[in-house]
Amino acid sequence: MSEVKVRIQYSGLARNLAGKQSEEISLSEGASVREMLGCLVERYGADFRAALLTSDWRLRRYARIMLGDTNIDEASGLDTKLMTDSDASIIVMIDQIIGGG
Amino acid sequence: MSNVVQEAVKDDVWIHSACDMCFNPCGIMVHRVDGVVTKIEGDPDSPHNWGKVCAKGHAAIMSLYDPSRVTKPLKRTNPKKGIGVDPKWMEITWDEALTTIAERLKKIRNDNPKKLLIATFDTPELIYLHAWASAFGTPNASWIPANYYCGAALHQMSYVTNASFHSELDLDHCNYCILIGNQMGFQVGLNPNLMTQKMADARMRGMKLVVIDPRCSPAAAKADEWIPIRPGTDGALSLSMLNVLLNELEIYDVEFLKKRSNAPYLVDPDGYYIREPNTKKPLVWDTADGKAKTYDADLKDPAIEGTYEIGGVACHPAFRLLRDHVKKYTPEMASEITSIPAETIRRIAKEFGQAASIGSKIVIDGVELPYRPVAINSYKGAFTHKHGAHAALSTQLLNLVLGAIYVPGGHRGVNPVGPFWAPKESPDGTITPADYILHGRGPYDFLDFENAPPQDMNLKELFPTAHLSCCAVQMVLLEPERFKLSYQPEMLIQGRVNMVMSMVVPEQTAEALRRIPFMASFATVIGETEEFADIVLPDLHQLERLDIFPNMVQLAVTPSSGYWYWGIRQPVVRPVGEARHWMEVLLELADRSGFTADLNQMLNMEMDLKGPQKLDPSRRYAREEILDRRATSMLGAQYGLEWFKEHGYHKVKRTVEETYPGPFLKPKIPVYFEHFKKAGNFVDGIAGQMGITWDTSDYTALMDWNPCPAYEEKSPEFDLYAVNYKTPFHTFTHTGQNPWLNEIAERHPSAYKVEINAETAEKKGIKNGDMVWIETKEGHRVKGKVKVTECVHPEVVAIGGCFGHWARGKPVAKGKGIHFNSLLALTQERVDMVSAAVDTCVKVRVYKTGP
Repeated sequence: MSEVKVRIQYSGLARNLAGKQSEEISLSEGASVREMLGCLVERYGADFRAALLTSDWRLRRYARIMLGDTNIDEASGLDTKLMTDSDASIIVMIDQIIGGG
Repeated sequence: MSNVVQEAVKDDVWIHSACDMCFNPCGIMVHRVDGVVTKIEGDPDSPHNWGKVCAKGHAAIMSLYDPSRVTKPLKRTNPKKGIGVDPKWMEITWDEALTTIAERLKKIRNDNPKKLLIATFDTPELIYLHAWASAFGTPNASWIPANYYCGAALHQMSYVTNASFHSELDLDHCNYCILIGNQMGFQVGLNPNLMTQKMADARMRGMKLVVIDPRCSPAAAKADEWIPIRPGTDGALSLSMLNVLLNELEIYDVEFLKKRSNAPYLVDPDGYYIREPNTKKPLVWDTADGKAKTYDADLKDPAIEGTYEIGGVACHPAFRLLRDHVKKYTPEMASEITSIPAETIRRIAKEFGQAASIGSKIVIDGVELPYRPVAINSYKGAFTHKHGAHAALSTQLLNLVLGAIYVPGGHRGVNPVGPFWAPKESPDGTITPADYILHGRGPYDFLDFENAPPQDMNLKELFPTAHLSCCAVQMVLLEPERFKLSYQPEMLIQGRVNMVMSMVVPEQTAEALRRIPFMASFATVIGETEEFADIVLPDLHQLERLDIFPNMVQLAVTPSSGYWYWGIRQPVVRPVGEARHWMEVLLELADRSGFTADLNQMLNMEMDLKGPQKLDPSRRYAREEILDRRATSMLGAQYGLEWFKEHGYHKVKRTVEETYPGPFLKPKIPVYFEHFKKAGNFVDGIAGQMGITWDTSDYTALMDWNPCPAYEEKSPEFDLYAVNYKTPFHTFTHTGQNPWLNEIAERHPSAYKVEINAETAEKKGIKNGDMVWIETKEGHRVKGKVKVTECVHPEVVAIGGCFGHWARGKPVAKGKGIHFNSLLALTQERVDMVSAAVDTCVKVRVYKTGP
């Protein structure tokens, strides 16, 4: 069975939790973003999942996953299929900060 | 350190900009002659203030040319840090300063980015700071005094019921206005210049104004009626008025409650909604069909009264429970608590209810709308207390039961519906703010929290429904072993916020600051907090700054202006000395520390930059270019930075549906707050995991009044409540150093003094002009000159503003007035556990200082 290779760029809290800025992973052909995240959660643990996803696996408000220039929210969300040789960005911002008022 | 720049080019121009002397960025026109600012006036084209500007706005010119301005980077040479300790500054180059800071940032980012703490009140810059802190990797970016000085409980209440950050009232149509613990329309609060004009117009039109306040504030002095109240008892008054309306007079808006609120939701004996087993949606009893349906079904006649049985469980509509619950708050009981006569409570409630004209309609711009010309508005004075969340929601319920919400004449949030956004629904169908206007946490965010102890310094898991919990940062700094975070901060970046004065007990904040090994501050003058810095960087004055959209639509644009608008704050003169915009410096620090690529990614996400506006991660951008991309991305290619520099404002008229969204809102407005019960259970679980004691008794679905610590202090010696009030001519600690504003305060009868009721003063043998100590049981004390007056409650001493500066870098402000916050304490017992508001009233004894 052939594989898809995904080059992942981590930003913000995702970088903290992955402990690296980028990496390349291989997944089975036809894999989706959900499966990619499953692999990463297995690798980086519960804190990584908690920063990115709710316990029922919805993307958090301040988390974004881009495939190339496409925000997965504007495609099929976590079920968006990965193309081979994809570039993915996993961006996790902190919660809103406050001031004024 | 003064270095006033003379422009080379002779000129005589008026320039559009935005004020920065308080939270409100009023539009200003600045007159520059030969490179020198000579005059500031209100911008007649600005919907924020339509040409009006207050004393602070005019006086900004004096802060610009303050000879105490910091003009070069400074390095501390005295390692000892403390209040009154001279840092022994040494001037250094920008390069040395930034190299030192960047090296530390790199080390912290590689080790654990959470060890960087950021503190600022620079609200318009928060979207960039959010991106910067996210790119760096620290969630600890909100150490500010907002739990003391702002409307912590107000904002929480407003998000829950109004789906917006702030609240106000429709003064164009209101006929009966109650201000409780606030002075909206009297040069404080949101859009003060605009609302002051609106208030004056409404009073001329015949609107009745009742002000409930321990002190005869400027608002009370102009009101039809001032009702003095014992501090911290506002919630009891509101619940009693609610009882009069719901049970004695039976005045409430049945149509609103049935169709636009969660009043019909059925509640079980434990206080939780009865839910449809499969969808888990709350159930409502449809009287017309004689059966229970989900709240979002086709309901013909939802019941708000009665008892029903669902699945063998007896249940009641939420409204029935609310009515029964408030019965115990009789005016007689509330009178004992508040010191307001029972007959006054009954009369005010009756006038308020009758003025609501329930059932009446009005046509505006061809649209027929419900007309409820009454509103009660509140803010810090009533809610910055222990149990402040209950007081806030109890007060808001007075508007809600009359249907006076988001309709002409009534109360409203500032912007739940806008050109790019609309409110969302909670899982139970109640209203909650759009992400776009969210400033802090949303009311139902906690439903997605991890069931695990806090990892961030704001302890959000212990304050899950509070929109902010920045007081927790100081708790964590002072008691790290209690809160068990796995790290301690190693560096603080601070600017435009004076924590040492604006928090409580300066020595406590000083100790928190001493525990952070390195501190870099951005400052225009060296204040009490900057005295703890290791490096100070010269910051810009408002008339030297470039900021796009300082009038944050998500926070500070009120419907009262009739417009949506976007403006600019632009430099009128070149910076003094080597001062730089602090966000531009942060961009350079990101570059020097190696995270520009992450920052550009975050900025793209934060500002939703797409296509040609999107930032390339591999490039470093000038700040102007980033601002230009934000403006054109949001408003279109023609509205770039240059357009705003020339024109000042882009305005779009609000529609009727945006101004009065009430009848058009699909989500329900809650009068029963089941989510608090869930939040309380969540906090119990977290506290249990942490092994700490944490009071969750205020997490209830129905509101109550409970005494704050000051009320419970019954020692005859400590017989007076000390309260703090805002003056319209000063902002926090920001303006004390301004010579014109200082002069106003010096000439004011009481701004720099302590007000004592005449009868009380006589009993204590205290006379006008005496110097007295004001002392708490804990031994905190401040000294001040007495102003004897009948304009304050007999049980109260009132201290204005945030004065009493001691920093040597603020020679105008130093030694003027009284530092009220020195009387307070930050302890769990004095924090409202639901909103995180810090109690700002305290029992004191007052005695003469002696000869």
